[in-house]
Amino acid sequence: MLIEVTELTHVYLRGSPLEVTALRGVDLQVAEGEFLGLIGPTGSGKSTLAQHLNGLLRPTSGRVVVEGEDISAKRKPLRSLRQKVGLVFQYPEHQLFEETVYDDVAFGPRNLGLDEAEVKRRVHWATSLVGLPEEMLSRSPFELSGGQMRRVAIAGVLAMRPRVLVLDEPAAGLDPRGRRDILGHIRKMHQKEGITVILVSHNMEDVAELAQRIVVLHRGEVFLQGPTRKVFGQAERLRGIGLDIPPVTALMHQLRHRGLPVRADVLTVEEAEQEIVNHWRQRRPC
Amino acid sequence: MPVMIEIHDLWHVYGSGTAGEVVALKGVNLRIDQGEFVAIIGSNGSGKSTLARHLNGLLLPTRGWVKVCNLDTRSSEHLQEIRRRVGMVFENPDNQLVATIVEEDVAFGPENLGLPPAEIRRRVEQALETVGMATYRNHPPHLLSGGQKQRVAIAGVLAMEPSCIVLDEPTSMLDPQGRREVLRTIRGLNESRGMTVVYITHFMEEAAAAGRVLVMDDGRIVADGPPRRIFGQTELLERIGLGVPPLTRLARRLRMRGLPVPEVVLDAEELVSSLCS
Repeated sequence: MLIEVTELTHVYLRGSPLEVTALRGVDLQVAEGEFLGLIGPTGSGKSTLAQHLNGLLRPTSGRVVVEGEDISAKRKPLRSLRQKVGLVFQYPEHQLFEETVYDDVAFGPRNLGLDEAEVKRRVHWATSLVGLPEEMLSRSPFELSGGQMRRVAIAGVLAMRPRVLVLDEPAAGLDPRGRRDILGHIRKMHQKEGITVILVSHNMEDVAELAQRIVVLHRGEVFLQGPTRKVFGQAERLRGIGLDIPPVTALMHQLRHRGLPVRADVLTVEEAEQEIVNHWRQRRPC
Repeated sequence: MPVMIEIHDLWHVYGSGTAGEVVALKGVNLRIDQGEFVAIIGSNGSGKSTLARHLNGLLLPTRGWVKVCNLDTRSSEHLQEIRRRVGMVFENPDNQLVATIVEEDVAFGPENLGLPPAEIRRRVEQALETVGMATYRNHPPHLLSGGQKQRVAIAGVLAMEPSCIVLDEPTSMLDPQGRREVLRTIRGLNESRGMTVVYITHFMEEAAAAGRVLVMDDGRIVADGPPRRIFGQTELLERIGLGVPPLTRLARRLRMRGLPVPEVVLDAEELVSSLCS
């Protein structure tokens, strides 16, 4: 296992009147090369969990082990860990600050003390993975569109060459094309470079399209987990905690309910189209 | 219906005369009647938010004019009245709530109007009732969910008793339940109280629930009509980077493969009944 979280509990402001238990005995395993979706209603503990994976938060109790290294131990140097697990926050473009796109992406690798040739290799590798054209590297990140700025921020994390990339709502606030683009690049990073991806999102369609497996958090506990199709097969349980299933999956359920015997574990428009057309060809009216 | 908002040849230039000059609006003409529910869609940078910020005088025209209930936003003596009549709700619920208790937050606006305490209490109560948050009146806002925070923000706007509410991507940071709550609240306001609603969104399925959809591209309104007509223009919407809602796309593909599905489908019920009739 690349990541093993055992019995993780996190309490904010322990001992104060504002004490909140954000995670309660969470177990989580992530295998090398996996694409995991992490979903849950607002306040379910997703971001708190994500911040434990690269040591930004320390467990109140329980263990977080990354590549065999227990990172929950006190005073563990976190530098090597932060290289292994790259965390992309919500609205990461707010953290851009350098004068050029190149310098912004190069900031992390330079801090690692790498020589300039290696820094350059990494900047080119990372920016091409997120689809930023060469000529953009010399521009100011602040002249770019929202979607492009976000890709610069993701490239900055990729340039650290992490084994695991944790993305918290990478498409929030982007227009539909920006959303498709960024998710397409994330899929490519996973497929071509074998980077392990953990996608934290409120958008059920995006998770359905990309993730192989889903972990659902609710009130700081693991509420459901399993292969994507299985999890989205549990519409009532998901709706009960304020989540939902993708619109095409919901449509298939409705068609079944009205007597058209289509498969309901469909996740994308393309799959739904094929399934409905197949049934139609068999001419079985509802 | 009387006119709520009227916009004539509106241009807006940011950083005019500097190297970074951006022409965000390029001659927008628009009329919104009282009681309409208008969704605005468009890619990032198309001018949606700039247009919205003109509706209550947060931004003023570089050229052209904007009138709200016949009050011109260019005259500073109208601004206070215009801002009372047009309430704004933004994307991030955490940046909009200021008080430590829900009802104090909702009372913030009316208190600033200098209203008598009894009137303030009445308005706060009514606004919280309308958004379904009355039982949370004594809660600290930071303990609410995203959808609940947005509803409190909407209540804060309602307590000003506006004639029009403008929402700029109010659901983009919310979970599915929060999105449903906010959209249901807004539809309720429009349907049962005739509140004029201007709703900016990146979610095409939300726009499909409005009575009228405006499509913006490069500082201009490029399409304006009921959702069924707008979402029938797949090529235009794809070209400007928007696309159509997922079920509209599915229905279109099914139709292309010969299934008896209407040309433009806006929700699951329509698609199910066309396949199961």
